[in-house]
Amino acid sequence: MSDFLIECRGLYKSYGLRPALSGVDLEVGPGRIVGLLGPNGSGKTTLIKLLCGLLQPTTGWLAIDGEAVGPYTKSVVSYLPDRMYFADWMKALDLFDLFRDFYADFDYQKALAMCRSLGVEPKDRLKSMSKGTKEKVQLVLVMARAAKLYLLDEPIAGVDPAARDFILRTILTNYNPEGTVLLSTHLISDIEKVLDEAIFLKEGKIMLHATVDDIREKEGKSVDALFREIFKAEPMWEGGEDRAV
Amino acid sequence: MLFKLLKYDFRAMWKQFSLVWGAALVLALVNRFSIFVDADDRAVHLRNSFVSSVPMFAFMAVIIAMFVIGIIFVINRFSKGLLGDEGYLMHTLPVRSWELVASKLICGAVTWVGCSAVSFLSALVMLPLNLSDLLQVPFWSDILRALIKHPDMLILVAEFLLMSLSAMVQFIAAIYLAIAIGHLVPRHRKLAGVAAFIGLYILLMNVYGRVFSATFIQRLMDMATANAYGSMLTASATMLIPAALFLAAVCWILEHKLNLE
Repeated sequence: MSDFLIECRGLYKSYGLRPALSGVDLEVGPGRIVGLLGPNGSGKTTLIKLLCGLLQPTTGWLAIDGEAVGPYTKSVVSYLPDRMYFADWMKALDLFDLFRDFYADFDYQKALAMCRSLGVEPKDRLKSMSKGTKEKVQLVLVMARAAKLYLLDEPIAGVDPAARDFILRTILTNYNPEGTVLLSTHLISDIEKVLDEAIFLKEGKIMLHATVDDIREKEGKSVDALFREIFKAEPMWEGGEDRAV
Repeated sequence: MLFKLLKYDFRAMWKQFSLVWGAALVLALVNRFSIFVDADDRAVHLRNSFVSSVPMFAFMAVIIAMFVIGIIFVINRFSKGLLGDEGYLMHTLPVRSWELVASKLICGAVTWVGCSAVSFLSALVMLPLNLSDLLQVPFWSDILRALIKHPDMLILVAEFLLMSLSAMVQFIAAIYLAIAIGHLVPRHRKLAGVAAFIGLYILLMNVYGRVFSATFIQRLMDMATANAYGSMLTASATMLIPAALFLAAVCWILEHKLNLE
């Protein structure tokens, strides 16, 4: 059995002729909180979907907990997608029943307790819930599991700063400490304080993978400052021409 | 895991169809009393008025709607449930692709059988049958005696039902494969799915045309004359073999080419 929870070798994924990931080699150990950081279109969601089995790699190999993606890896991965996956007819309780049936690590009582603390009524139909409440239900489903790997795709995108803190607090107070949290975002300043490691993705390639302490020590700056430096975009000037600096 | 998947698929089916099935049966009962008038002499007369035609029209509309919803349900449970947003949930469950497909297929087939059964029952409810006549013991003992005398009738009925079910499974499998093929193309997936469905049936007819030569069909007809059981089982097999191939192709696409972009 491998020491790493996530292993990727020469991972390549393209949509038609456009590459989304180009030769990604990655190793992530257990018990870590890892930020998957990069601008929009850098391949964060593609990498997470490959780990979940929602996409198939064009070439390359990946494993979770030493196994190729399949029923076993899906049983140890808790995935928060960047969209709603509910059927209209369901109630939150129906989803809790479903998760209890399929995931041995799903804690039904914890899900109910989380609903109470988040102000969600689990007997309400999902159809009648607001977008924010549905997002809370989805967060409850993910965090009520004692998974080995949490894959959270942009959990704090599109919400106000107060809600970001609230979501991050929910994640940090409920995740399985023996598991790893892989969290994709481009809002680095909000999550930097909780990260153990950071992975910088740019145009489908890993630019940097290091611990947050190493980054601060070696670069002498915060992860956010380094991110801004690496992903700095040159402004366009009148006439659409780039100005030489 | 298949039974757990079926539990949720059947729950979705029940949520969708309980109302329409109930409406069909209630309207059939209304029609029974709005179309037919029970006279004092135990005879039944037809009521001829505009009032009686309104519930009949509503009943026909519900029956047509039920079958249309049935077809849409089978398509949506597969396309949205496995290849749309709900696929983000279904494909992250710790199950094999074949279990997801089998669950949708069984639920789809049961839905169509349910719709057919409700139509049949509605027709029975509408008929001006006398309940006291139906509950008489001699009536049922005659039927039972006839069945004991000709038990092959039951086998023939069972084989006919199996043949109908095979045709249904083949049709659903072709729909699934067409949707899965449409999913492989980056744009205009629905259009590609429709084209794939037409293409699949053209292919199927061509294969049938080549395999089932005139001599083969003549033999089948001879067999039907000599042994009706064998001919219906052969017909079922000829429909189930391509259905199995279609479903295997669907599972392969979901296992190796899934692309929930």
